[in-house]
Amino acid sequence: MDLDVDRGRLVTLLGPNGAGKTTLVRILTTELKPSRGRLTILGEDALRNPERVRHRIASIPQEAKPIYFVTPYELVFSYLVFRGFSIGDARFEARRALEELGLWEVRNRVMNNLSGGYKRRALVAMVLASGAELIFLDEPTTGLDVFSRRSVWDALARLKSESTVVLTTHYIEEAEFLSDEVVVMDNGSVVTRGTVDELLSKVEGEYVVEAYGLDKPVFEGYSYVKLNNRYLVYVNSSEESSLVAREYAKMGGKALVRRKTLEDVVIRLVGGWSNDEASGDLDSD
Amino acid sequence: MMRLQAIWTQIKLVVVFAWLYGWLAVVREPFWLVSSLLTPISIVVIMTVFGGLHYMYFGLLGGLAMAVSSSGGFTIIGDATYLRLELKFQSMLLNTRLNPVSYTLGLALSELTYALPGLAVFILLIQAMLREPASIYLLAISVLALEWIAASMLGFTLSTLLNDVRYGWSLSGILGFLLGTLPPVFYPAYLLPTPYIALVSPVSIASTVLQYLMLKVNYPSTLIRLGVLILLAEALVFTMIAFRKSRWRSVK
Repeated sequence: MDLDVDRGRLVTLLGPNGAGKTTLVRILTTELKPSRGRLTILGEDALRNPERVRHRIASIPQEAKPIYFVTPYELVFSYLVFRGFSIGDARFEARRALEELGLWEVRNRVMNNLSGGYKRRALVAMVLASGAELIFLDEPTTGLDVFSRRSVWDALARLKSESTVVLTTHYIEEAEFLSDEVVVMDNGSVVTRGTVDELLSKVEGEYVVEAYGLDKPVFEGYSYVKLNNRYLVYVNSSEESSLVAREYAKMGGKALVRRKTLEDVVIRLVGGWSNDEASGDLDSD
Repeated sequence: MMRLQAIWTQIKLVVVFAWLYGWLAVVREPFWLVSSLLTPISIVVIMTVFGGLHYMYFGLLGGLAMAVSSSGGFTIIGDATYLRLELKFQSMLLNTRLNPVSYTLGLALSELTYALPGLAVFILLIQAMLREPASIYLLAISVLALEWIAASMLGFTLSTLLNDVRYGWSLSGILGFLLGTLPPVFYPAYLLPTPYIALVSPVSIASTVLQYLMLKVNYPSTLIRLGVLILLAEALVFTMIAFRKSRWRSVK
Protein backbone atom coordinates (compact mmCIF):
# COMPACT_ATOMS: atom_id res chain seq x y z
CA MET A 1 0.00 0.00 0.00
CA ASP A 2 1.24 3.45 -0.89
CA LEU A 3 -0.88 6.21 0.57
CA ASP A 4 -0.19 9.84 1.26
CA VAL A 5 -2.72 12.34 2.57
CA ASP A 6 -2.32 16.10 2.44
CA ARG A 7 -2.93 18.18 5.54
CA GLY A 8 -6.32 19.80 5.98
CA ARG A 9 -8.25 17.31 3.89
CA LEU A 10 -11.00 14.86 4.69
CA VAL A 11 -10.17 11.51 3.16
CA THR A 12 -12.61 8.62 3.19
CA LEU A 13 -11.58 4.99 3.02
CA LEU A 14 -14.17 2.91 1.18
CA GLY A 15 -14.17 -0.80 0.51
CA PRO A 16 -15.89 -4.08 1.28
CA ASN A 17 -15.76 -5.79 4.66
CA GLY A 18 -12.29 -7.24 5.16
CA ALA A 19 -10.65 -4.76 2.77
CA GLY A 20 -8.23 -3.74 5.51
CA LYS A 21 -9.65 -0.31 6.37
CA THR A 22 -9.70 -0.85 10.12
CA THR A 23 -6.27 -2.51 10.10
CA LEU A 24 -4.92 0.48 8.19
CA VAL A 25 -6.47 2.90 10.69
CA ARG A 26 -4.97 0.92 13.59
CA ILE A 27 -1.55 1.14 11.94
CA LEU A 28 -1.96 4.85 11.26
CA THR A 29 -2.98 5.60 14.85
CA THR A 30 0.21 3.70 15.92
CA GLU A 31 -1.82 1.05 17.73
CA LEU A 32 -0.70 -1.75 15.44
CA LYS A 33 2.83 -2.24 14.19
CA PRO A 34 3.03 -3.14 10.53
CA SER A 35 5.25 -6.06 9.52
CA ARG A 36 7.20 -3.79 7.16
CA GLY A 37 7.09 -0.43 5.42
CA ARG A 38 7.45 3.25 6.28
CA LEU A 39 5.00 5.42 8.14
CA THR A 40 5.37 9.18 8.31
CA ILE A 41 2.68 11.02 10.23
CA LEU A 42 2.69 14.80 10.57
CA GLY A 43 6.31 14.81 9.48
CA GLU A 44 7.44 12.27 12.12
CA ASP A 45 8.65 8.71 11.65
CA ALA A 46 5.70 7.07 13.42
CA LEU A 47 7.27 3.62 13.45
CA ARG A 48 10.40 4.69 15.29
CA ASN A 49 8.90 7.46 17.42
CA PRO A 50 5.18 6.77 17.81
CA GLU A 51 5.06 8.77 21.06
CA ARG A 52 5.93 11.94 19.12
CA VAL A 53 2.75 11.77 17.08
CA ARG A 54 0.29 10.04 19.39
CA HIS A 55 -0.86 13.16 21.23
CA ARG A 56 -1.29 14.99 17.92
CA ILE A 57 -3.79 12.35 16.77
CA ALA A 58 -7.30 11.53 17.98
CA SER A 59 -9.32 8.52 16.98
CA ILE A 60 -12.59 6.72 17.49
CA PRO A 61 -12.13 3.02 16.81
CA GLN A 62 -14.79 0.97 15.10
CA GLU A 63 -17.49 -0.19 17.56
CA ALA A 64 -16.03 1.93 20.36
CA LYS A 65 -18.46 2.59 23.22
CA PRO A 66 -18.38 5.08 26.10
CA ILE A 67 -18.18 3.90 29.72
CA TYR A 68 -21.82 3.26 30.59
CA PHE A 69 -21.95 4.90 34.03
CA VAL A 70 -20.42 8.27 33.11
CA THR A 71 -22.19 11.27 31.58
CA PRO A 72 -21.33 12.80 28.18
CA TYR A 73 -19.82 15.78 29.98
CA GLU A 74 -17.61 13.62 32.21
CA LEU A 75 -16.51 11.55 29.24
CA VAL A 76 -15.45 14.50 27.08
CA PHE A 77 -14.00 16.44 30.02
CA SER A 78 -11.84 13.53 31.24
CA TYR A 79 -10.66 12.74 27.72
CA LEU A 80 -9.49 16.32 27.31
CA VAL A 81 -7.67 16.23 30.66
CA PHE A 82 -6.01 12.97 29.55
CA ARG A 83 -4.90 14.82 26.43
CA GLY A 84 -3.20 17.47 28.52
CA PHE A 85 -5.85 20.22 28.67
CA SER A 86 -6.04 22.28 31.85
CA ILE A 87 -9.22 21.83 33.90
CA GLY A 88 -10.56 25.21 32.73
CA ASP A 89 -9.83 24.57 29.06
CA ALA A 90 -11.27 21.06 29.29
CA ARG A 91 -14.51 22.45 30.73
CA PHE A 92 -14.75 25.12 28.03
CA GLU A 93 -14.01 22.83 25.09
CA ALA A 94 -16.23 20.04 26.45
CA ARG A 95 -19.15 22.44 26.60
CA ARG A 96 -18.46 23.74 23.08
CA ALA A 97 -18.31 20.24 21.58
CA LEU A 98 -21.38 18.99 23.44
CA GLU A 99 -23.37 22.03 22.33
CA GLU A 100 -22.24 21.58 18.75
CA LEU A 101 -23.38 17.97 18.70
CA GLY A 102 -26.68 18.66 20.43
CA LEU A 103 -25.64 16.90 23.64
CA TRP A 104 -25.66 19.81 26.08
CA GLU A 105 -29.22 19.09 27.23
CA VAL A 106 -28.28 15.53 28.17
CA ARG A 107 -24.80 16.32 29.49
CA ASN A 108 -25.59 15.10 33.00
CA ARG A 109 -27.43 11.92 32.10
CA VAL A 110 -25.46 8.68 32.40
CA MET A 111 -24.74 6.89 29.13
CA ASN A 112 -26.80 3.89 30.16
CA ASN A 113 -29.92 6.06 29.98
CA LEU A 114 -29.08 7.51 26.57
CA SER A 115 -29.84 6.12 23.13
CA GLY A 116 -27.17 4.64 20.89
CA GLY A 117 -27.14 7.84 18.83
CA TYR A 118 -26.30 10.00 21.85
CA LYS A 119 -23.56 7.61 22.93
CA ARG A 120 -21.96 7.66 19.50
CA ARG A 121 -22.17 11.45 19.32
CA ALA A 122 -20.53 11.70 22.74
CA LEU A 123 -17.54 9.84 21.30
CA VAL A 124 -17.45 12.15 18.32
CA ALA A 125 -17.59 15.10 20.75
CA MET A 126 -14.41 13.80 22.39
CA VAL A 127 -12.35 14.07 19.22
CA LEU A 128 -14.14 17.20 18.10
CA ALA A 129 -13.09 18.94 21.31
CA SER A 130 -9.55 17.55 21.21
CA GLY A 131 -8.28 19.96 18.55
CA ALA A 132 -6.02 17.16 17.24
CA GLU A 133 -4.16 17.79 14.01
CA LEU A 134 -5.09 14.39 12.60
CA ILE A 135 -8.34 12.62 13.36
CA PHE A 136 -9.35 9.05 12.55
CA LEU A 137 -13.01 8.10 12.63
CA ASP A 138 -13.72 4.45 11.96
CA GLU A 139 -17.40 4.23 11.00
CA PRO A 140 -18.47 7.02 13.38
CA THR A 141 -22.09 7.15 12.26
CA THR A 142 -22.92 3.46 12.15
CA GLY A 143 -26.28 2.93 13.83
CA LEU A 144 -27.20 6.62 13.97
CA ASP A 145 -30.58 7.89 12.76
CA VAL A 146 -30.82 10.42 9.93
CA PHE A 147 -30.90 13.38 12.32
CA SER A 148 -27.95 12.29 14.45
CA ARG A 149 -25.91 11.51 11.36
CA ARG A 150 -26.40 14.99 10.04
CA SER A 151 -25.30 16.58 13.30
CA VAL A 152 -22.14 14.45 13.10
CA TRP A 153 -21.69 15.54 9.48
CA ASP A 154 -21.90 19.18 10.57
CA ALA A 155 -19.25 18.54 13.20
CA LEU A 156 -17.05 16.78 10.66
CA ALA A 157 -17.45 19.69 8.27
CA ARG A 158 -16.09 21.98 11.01
CA LEU A 159 -13.26 19.54 11.80
CA LYS A 160 -12.25 19.70 8.16
CA SER A 161 -11.37 23.34 8.49
CA GLU A 162 -9.02 22.69 11.44
CA SER A 163 -7.65 19.16 11.08
CA THR A 164 -6.89 16.39 8.67
CA VAL A 165 -9.63 13.76 8.93
CA VAL A 166 -9.47 10.12 7.84
CA LEU A 167 -12.92 8.57 7.79
CA THR A 168 -14.12 5.06 7.11
CA THR A 169 -17.79 4.55 6.41
CA HIS A 170 -20.28 2.31 4.69
CA TYR A 171 -22.64 5.22 4.09
CA ILE A 172 -22.06 6.30 0.51
CA GLU A 173 -23.87 9.61 0.81
CA GLU A 174 -21.66 10.43 3.79
CA ALA A 175 -18.54 9.81 1.74
CA GLU A 176 -19.91 11.83 -1.19
CA PHE A 177 -21.06 14.69 0.99
CA LEU A 178 -17.95 15.07 3.14
CA SER A 179 -14.89 13.82 1.29
CA ASP A 180 -12.21 15.86 -0.39
CA GLU A 181 -10.79 12.59 -1.55
CA VAL A 182 -11.93 8.97 -1.53
CA VAL A 183 -9.62 5.96 -1.36
CA VAL A 184 -11.11 2.66 -2.50
CA MET A 185 -9.46 -0.33 -0.82
CA ASP A 186 -9.60 -4.07 -1.25
CA ASN A 187 -7.44 -6.87 0.18
CA GLY A 188 -5.17 -4.43 1.97
CA SER A 189 -4.38 -2.44 -1.18
CA VAL A 190 -5.48 0.84 -2.67
CA VAL A 191 -7.58 0.02 -5.73
CA THR A 192 -8.08 3.63 -6.77
CA ARG A 193 -8.29 7.10 -5.30
CA GLY A 194 -9.49 10.54 -6.31
CA THR A 195 -12.16 13.13 -5.73
CA VAL A 196 -15.77 11.99 -5.74
CA ASP A 197 -16.23 13.29 -9.30
CA GLU A 198 -13.04 11.62 -10.51
CA LEU A 199 -14.13 8.28 -9.11
CA LEU A 200 -17.66 8.60 -10.44
CA SER A 201 -16.24 9.20 -13.90
CA LYS A 202 -14.62 5.76 -13.77
CA VAL A 203 -18.07 4.18 -14.12
CA GLU A 204 -19.95 4.70 -17.38
CA GLY A 205 -23.37 6.38 -17.52
CA GLU A 206 -25.18 8.69 -15.15
CA TYR A 207 -28.02 6.45 -14.00
CA VAL A 208 -28.25 2.88 -12.81
CA VAL A 209 -31.14 0.48 -13.33
CA GLU A 210 -31.09 -2.20 -10.65
CA ALA A 211 -33.00 -5.15 -12.11
CA TYR A 212 -33.90 -8.41 -10.42
CA GLY A 213 -36.32 -11.32 -10.73
CA LEU A 214 -35.30 -12.74 -14.12
CA ASP A 215 -32.65 -15.39 -14.78
CA LYS A 216 -31.22 -14.40 -18.13
CA PRO A 217 -32.24 -10.90 -19.12
CA VAL A 218 -30.85 -9.18 -22.20
CA PHE A 219 -29.52 -5.63 -21.94
CA GLU A 220 -28.35 -5.20 -25.49
CA GLY A 221 -26.15 -2.19 -26.03
CA TYR A 222 -25.82 -1.37 -22.36
CA SER A 223 -22.97 -1.89 -19.93
CA TYR A 224 -23.99 -3.91 -16.88
CA VAL A 225 -22.71 -6.06 -14.04
CA LYS A 226 -24.33 -9.00 -12.29
CA LEU A 227 -24.19 -8.90 -8.52
CA ASN A 228 -25.75 -11.89 -6.75
CA ASN A 229 -29.21 -12.18 -8.38
CA ARG A 230 -29.48 -8.62 -9.59
CA TYR A 231 -28.20 -6.73 -12.57
CA LEU A 232 -26.85 -3.19 -12.46
CA VAL A 233 -27.31 -1.57 -15.84
CA TYR A 234 -25.49 1.70 -16.52
CA VAL A 235 -27.32 4.18 -18.74
CA ASN A 236 -26.65 7.77 -19.77
CA SER A 237 -29.97 9.52 -19.23
CA SER A 238 -33.11 9.45 -17.15
CA GLU A 239 -35.19 8.63 -20.26
CA GLU A 240 -33.01 5.66 -21.11
CA SER A 241 -33.17 4.35 -17.58
CA SER A 242 -37.00 4.54 -17.59
CA LEU A 243 -37.04 2.71 -20.91
CA VAL A 244 -34.81 -0.12 -19.65
CA ALA A 245 -36.80 -0.43 -16.43
CA ARG A 246 -40.12 -0.56 -18.34
CA GLU A 247 -38.84 -3.23 -20.74
CA TYR A 248 -37.53 -5.31 -17.85
CA ALA A 249 -40.85 -5.03 -16.00
CA LYS A 250 -42.70 -6.16 -19.15
CA MET A 251 -40.60 -9.33 -19.14
CA GLY A 252 -41.81 -10.02 -15.56
CA GLY A 253 -38.88 -8.65 -13.58
CA LYS A 254 -38.64 -5.76 -11.16
CA ALA A 255 -36.44 -2.73 -11.58
CA LEU A 256 -35.62 0.50 -9.83
CA VAL A 257 -33.83 3.52 -11.18
CA ARG A 258 -31.32 5.66 -9.29
CA ARG A 259 -28.45 8.01 -9.90
CA LYS A 260 -24.94 6.59 -10.07
CA THR A 261 -23.09 6.78 -6.72
CA LEU A 262 -19.74 5.85 -5.23
CA GLU A 263 -21.30 2.50 -4.40
CA ASP A 264 -21.23 1.72 -8.11
CA VAL A 265 -17.54 2.63 -8.21
CA VAL A 266 -16.83 0.11 -5.49
CA ILE A 267 -19.03 -2.54 -7.12
CA ARG A 268 -17.44 -1.97 -10.51
CA LEU A 269 -13.84 -1.87 -9.26
CA VAL A 270 -13.91 -4.25 -6.34
CA GLY A 271 -16.86 -6.51 -6.84
CA GLY A 272 -19.25 -6.02 -3.97
CA TRP A 273 -19.63 -4.76 -0.43
CA SER A 274 -19.43 -8.10 1.22
CA ASN A 275 -16.54 -10.48 1.03
CA ASP A 276 -18.73 -13.56 1.01
CA GLU A 277 -18.52 -15.73 -2.08
CA ALA A 278 -21.96 -14.86 -3.43
CA SER A 279 -21.16 -11.18 -3.72
CA GLY A 280 -18.04 -11.95 -5.64
CA ASP A 281 -20.18 -13.33 -8.42
CA LEU A 282 -19.56 -10.37 -10.65
CA ASP A 283 -19.92 -10.59 -14.38
CA SER A 284 -19.72 -7.71 -16.75
CA ASP A 285 -20.62 -7.27 -20.34
CA MET B 1 13.03 19.31 36.32
CA MET B 2 11.32 18.31 33.08
CA ARG B 3 11.29 14.69 34.24
CA LEU B 4 9.73 15.60 37.59
CA GLN B 5 7.05 17.60 35.81
CA ALA B 6 6.32 14.63 33.53
CA ILE B 7 5.97 12.32 36.54
CA TRP B 8 3.67 14.82 38.27
CA THR B 9 1.53 14.99 35.13
CA GLN B 10 1.24 11.21 35.04
CA ILE B 11 0.27 11.09 38.73
CA LYS B 12 -2.51 13.63 38.06
CA LEU B 13 -3.76 11.55 35.12
CA VAL B 14 -3.77 8.39 37.26
CA VAL B 15 -5.96 10.20 39.79
CA VAL B 16 -8.30 11.45 37.05
CA PHE B 17 -8.59 7.86 35.78
CA ALA B 18 -9.42 6.64 39.30
CA TRP B 19 -12.07 9.36 39.56
CA LEU B 20 -13.59 8.40 36.20
CA TYR B 21 -13.59 4.64 36.52
CA GLY B 22 -13.47 4.16 40.29
CA TRP B 23 -15.18 6.99 42.13
CA LEU B 24 -17.98 7.52 39.61
CA ALA B 25 -18.62 3.77 39.71
CA VAL B 26 -18.90 3.86 43.51
CA VAL B 27 -21.38 6.71 43.33
CA ARG B 28 -23.44 5.39 40.41
CA GLU B 29 -23.15 1.60 40.66
CA PRO B 30 -23.01 0.72 44.37
CA PHE B 31 -24.86 -2.57 43.87
CA TRP B 32 -21.84 -4.15 42.18
CA LEU B 33 -19.83 -3.39 45.29
CA VAL B 34 -22.46 -4.97 47.53
CA SER B 35 -22.48 -8.10 45.36
CA SER B 36 -18.68 -8.33 45.34
CA LEU B 37 -18.61 -8.10 49.15
CA LEU B 38 -21.26 -10.75 49.65
CA THR B 39 -18.77 -13.64 49.58
CA PRO B 40 -16.40 -12.40 52.33
CA ILE B 41 -19.29 -11.17 54.47
CA SER B 42 -21.16 -14.48 54.08
CA ILE B 43 -18.08 -16.39 55.18
CA VAL B 44 -17.73 -14.12 58.23
CA VAL B 45 -21.39 -14.74 59.14
CA ILE B 46 -21.03 -18.54 58.77
CA MET B 47 -17.84 -18.54 60.85
CA THR B 48 -19.54 -16.49 63.57
CA VAL B 49 -22.57 -18.76 63.67
CA PHE B 50 -20.51 -21.97 63.88
CA GLY B 51 -17.33 -20.76 65.64
CA GLY B 52 -18.52 -17.98 67.89
CA LEU B 53 -16.81 -14.66 68.57
CA HIS B 54 -13.29 -16.11 68.42
CA TYR B 55 -13.71 -17.23 64.80
CA MET B 56 -15.56 -14.07 63.88
CA TYR B 57 -12.28 -12.19 64.47
CA PHE B 58 -10.50 -14.54 62.08
CA GLY B 59 -13.40 -14.11 59.67
CA LEU B 60 -13.21 -10.32 59.73
CA LEU B 61 -9.46 -10.25 59.11
CA GLY B 62 -9.82 -12.87 56.36
CA GLY B 63 -12.73 -10.91 54.88
CA LEU B 64 -10.61 -7.76 54.77
CA ALA B 65 -7.71 -9.60 53.10
CA MET B 66 -10.07 -11.27 50.63
CA ALA B 67 -11.90 -8.01 49.81
CA VAL B 68 -8.58 -6.27 49.06
CA SER B 69 -7.61 -8.92 46.50
CA SER B 70 -10.99 -9.90 45.07
CA SER B 71 -12.83 -6.54 45.02
CA GLY B 72 -9.84 -4.24 44.83
CA GLY B 73 -7.32 -6.36 42.93
CA PHE B 74 -8.36 -9.24 40.72
CA THR B 75 -11.41 -7.37 39.39
CA ILE B 76 -8.87 -5.56 37.21
CA ILE B 77 -8.79 -8.68 34.99
CA GLY B 78 -12.42 -8.18 33.99
CA ASP B 79 -12.24 -4.41 33.72
CA ALA B 80 -8.99 -4.25 31.75
CA THR B 81 -10.32 -6.83 29.28
CA TYR B 82 -13.65 -5.00 29.07
CA LEU B 83 -12.07 -1.60 28.41
CA ARG B 84 -9.70 -3.05 25.82
CA LEU B 85 -11.98 -5.40 23.90
CA GLU B 86 -15.55 -4.23 24.44
CA LEU B 87 -15.36 -0.44 24.81
CA LYS B 88 -12.09 0.04 22.87
CA PHE B 89 -11.36 2.65 25.53
CA GLN B 90 -7.70 1.64 25.66
CA SER B 91 -7.40 2.37 21.93
CA MET B 92 -8.84 5.84 22.47
CA LEU B 93 -6.45 6.57 25.33
CA LEU B 94 -3.53 5.67 23.08
CA ASN B 95 -3.68 9.21 21.71
CA THR B 96 -3.53 10.98 25.05
CA ARG B 97 -0.79 12.00 27.48
CA LEU B 98 -1.54 8.95 29.62
CA ASN B 99 1.27 6.45 29.17
CA PRO B 100 0.73 2.66 29.37
CA VAL B 101 2.18 2.37 32.88
CA SER B 102 -0.07 5.18 34.14
CA TYR B 103 -3.02 3.48 32.47
CA THR B 104 -2.21 0.29 34.41
CA LEU B 105 -1.84 2.20 37.66
CA GLY B 106 -4.98 4.25 37.00
CA LEU B 107 -6.97 1.10 36.44
CA ALA B 108 -5.55 -0.50 39.60
CA LEU B 109 -6.34 2.62 41.62
CA SER B 110 -9.87 2.63 40.16
CA GLU B 111 -10.43 -0.88 41.44
CA LEU B 112 -9.15 0.07 44.88
CA THR B 113 -11.28 3.22 44.93
CA TYR B 114 -14.30 1.15 44.05
CA ALA B 115 -13.55 -1.32 46.86
CA LEU B 116 -12.81 1.35 49.48
CA PRO B 117 -16.32 1.64 50.99
CA GLY B 118 -16.38 -2.13 51.52
CA LEU B 119 -12.90 -2.13 53.00
CA ALA B 120 -13.95 0.72 55.30
CA VAL B 121 -16.86 -1.41 56.57
CA PHE B 122 -14.46 -4.23 57.44
CA ILE B 123 -12.00 -1.87 59.12
CA LEU B 124 -14.76 -0.24 61.18
CA LEU B 125 -16.03 -3.64 62.33
CA ILE B 126 -12.50 -4.76 63.22
CA GLN B 127 -11.88 -1.56 65.17
CA ALA B 128 -15.19 -1.90 66.99
CA MET B 129 -14.28 -5.46 68.04
CA LEU B 130 -10.53 -5.32 68.58
CA ARG B 131 -9.75 -1.67 69.36
CA GLU B 132 -6.23 -1.75 67.93
CA PRO B 133 -3.86 1.24 68.18
CA ALA B 134 -3.03 3.31 65.08
CA SER B 135 0.49 1.86 64.85
CA ILE B 136 -0.96 -1.62 64.23
CA TYR B 137 -3.16 -0.21 61.46
CA LEU B 138 -0.13 1.39 59.89
CA LEU B 139 1.57 -2.01 59.67
CA ALA B 140 -1.64 -3.75 58.59
CA ILE B 141 -2.33 -1.23 55.83
CA SER B 142 1.25 -1.58 54.55
CA VAL B 143 0.78 -5.34 54.25
CA LEU B 144 -2.64 -4.91 52.61
CA ALA B 145 -1.10 -2.39 50.18
CA LEU B 146 1.48 -4.98 49.13
CA GLU B 147 -1.29 -7.55 48.69
CA TRP B 148 -3.28 -5.09 46.56
CA ILE B 149 -0.27 -4.31 44.36
CA ALA B 150 0.51 -8.01 43.88
CA ALA B 151 -3.11 -8.94 43.09
CA SER B 152 -3.83 -6.04 40.75
CA MET B 153 -0.55 -6.27 38.83
CA LEU B 154 -0.93 -10.05 38.44
CA GLY B 155 -4.51 -9.43 37.37
CA PHE B 156 -3.51 -6.83 34.77
CA THR B 157 -0.86 -9.17 33.35
CA LEU B 158 -3.41 -11.97 33.03
CA SER B 159 -5.88 -9.62 31.32
CA THR B 160 -3.39 -8.97 28.52
CA LEU B 161 -3.52 -12.68 27.64
CA LEU B 162 -7.30 -12.77 27.21
CA ASN B 163 -9.19 -12.24 23.98
CA ASP B 164 -12.76 -12.56 25.25
CA VAL B 165 -14.43 -10.29 27.80
CA ARG B 166 -16.33 -13.19 29.37
CA TYR B 167 -13.05 -14.89 30.30
CA GLY B 168 -11.98 -11.70 32.06
CA TRP B 169 -15.00 -11.57 34.37
CA SER B 170 -14.84 -15.34 34.98
CA LEU B 171 -11.13 -15.40 35.75
CA SER B 172 -11.34 -12.50 38.20
CA GLY B 173 -14.17 -14.29 40.05
CA ILE B 174 -12.37 -17.64 40.08
CA LEU B 175 -9.03 -16.24 41.23
CA GLY B 176 -10.63 -14.00 43.87
CA PHE B 177 -12.61 -16.92 45.30
CA LEU B 178 -9.91 -19.60 45.12
CA LEU B 179 -7.08 -17.54 46.57
CA GLY B 180 -9.44 -15.97 49.07
CA THR B 181 -10.88 -19.18 50.52
CA LEU B 182 -8.69 -22.26 49.92
CA PRO B 183 -5.44 -21.23 51.66
CA PRO B 184 -5.57 -20.18 55.33
CA VAL B 185 -7.28 -16.82 54.84
CA PHE B 186 -10.38 -17.22 57.01
CA TYR B 187 -8.89 -19.67 59.47
CA PRO B 188 -5.59 -19.88 61.40
CA ALA B 189 -2.67 -21.40 59.54
CA TYR B 190 -1.74 -23.52 62.57
CA LEU B 191 -4.72 -25.78 61.80
CA LEU B 192 -2.74 -27.06 58.78
CA PRO B 193 0.08 -29.65 58.94
CA THR B 194 2.48 -26.75 58.57
CA PRO B 195 1.61 -23.04 58.82
CA TYR B 196 4.04 -22.34 55.98
CA ILE B 197 1.26 -23.34 53.56
CA ALA B 198 0.07 -19.77 54.20
CA LEU B 199 2.90 -18.56 51.99
CA VAL B 200 1.24 -19.93 48.80
CA SER B 201 -0.73 -16.79 47.96
CA PRO B 202 -0.53 -13.06 48.62
CA VAL B 203 -3.99 -13.18 50.21
CA SER B 204 -3.14 -15.84 52.78
CA ILE B 205 0.16 -14.12 53.59
CA ALA B 206 -1.69 -10.86 54.26
CA SER B 207 -4.32 -12.62 56.34
CA THR B 208 -1.71 -14.50 58.38
CA VAL B 209 0.23 -11.30 59.09
CA LEU B 210 -3.01 -9.54 60.11
CA GLN B 211 -3.81 -12.43 62.49
CA TYR B 212 -0.29 -12.12 63.93
CA LEU B 213 -0.59 -8.35 64.34
CA MET B 214 -4.17 -8.04 65.59
CA LEU B 215 -5.10 -11.37 67.18
CA LYS B 216 -1.59 -12.03 68.51
CA VAL B 217 -1.66 -15.56 67.07
CA ASN B 218 1.50 -17.35 68.04
CA TYR B 219 3.03 -17.89 64.61
CA PRO B 220 6.78 -18.46 64.25
CA SER B 221 8.44 -15.12 63.58
CA THR B 222 10.22 -16.74 60.60
CA LEU B 223 6.85 -17.35 58.98
CA ILE B 224 5.86 -13.71 59.36
CA ARG B 225 9.24 -12.37 58.14
CA LEU B 226 9.28 -14.77 55.23
CA GLY B 227 5.66 -13.91 54.43
CA VAL B 228 6.37 -10.17 54.28
CA LEU B 229 9.46 -10.76 52.15
CA ILE B 230 7.57 -12.99 49.70
CA LEU B 231 4.71 -10.49 49.54
CA LEU B 232 7.17 -7.70 48.81
CA ALA B 233 8.88 -9.81 46.13
CA GLU B 234 5.53 -10.75 44.56
CA ALA B 235 4.44 -7.12 44.48
CA LEU B 236 7.72 -6.11 42.82
CA VAL B 237 7.88 -8.96 40.30
CA PHE B 238 4.19 -8.74 39.32
CA THR B 239 4.54 -4.96 38.93
CA MET B 240 7.58 -5.35 36.68
CA ILE B 241 5.80 -7.95 34.54
CA ALA B 242 2.65 -5.82 34.34
CA PHE B 243 4.67 -2.75 33.28
CA ARG B 244 6.42 -4.83 30.62
CA LYS B 245 3.07 -6.10 29.36
CA SER B 246 1.43 -2.67 29.41
CA ARG B 247 2.04 -1.13 26.01
CA TRP B 248 -0.13 0.65 23.53
CA ARG B 249 1.18 -0.87 20.35
CA SER B 250 0.45 -4.45 19.42
CA VAL B 251 2.08 -6.52 16.69
CA LYS B 252 -0.34 -8.41 14.48
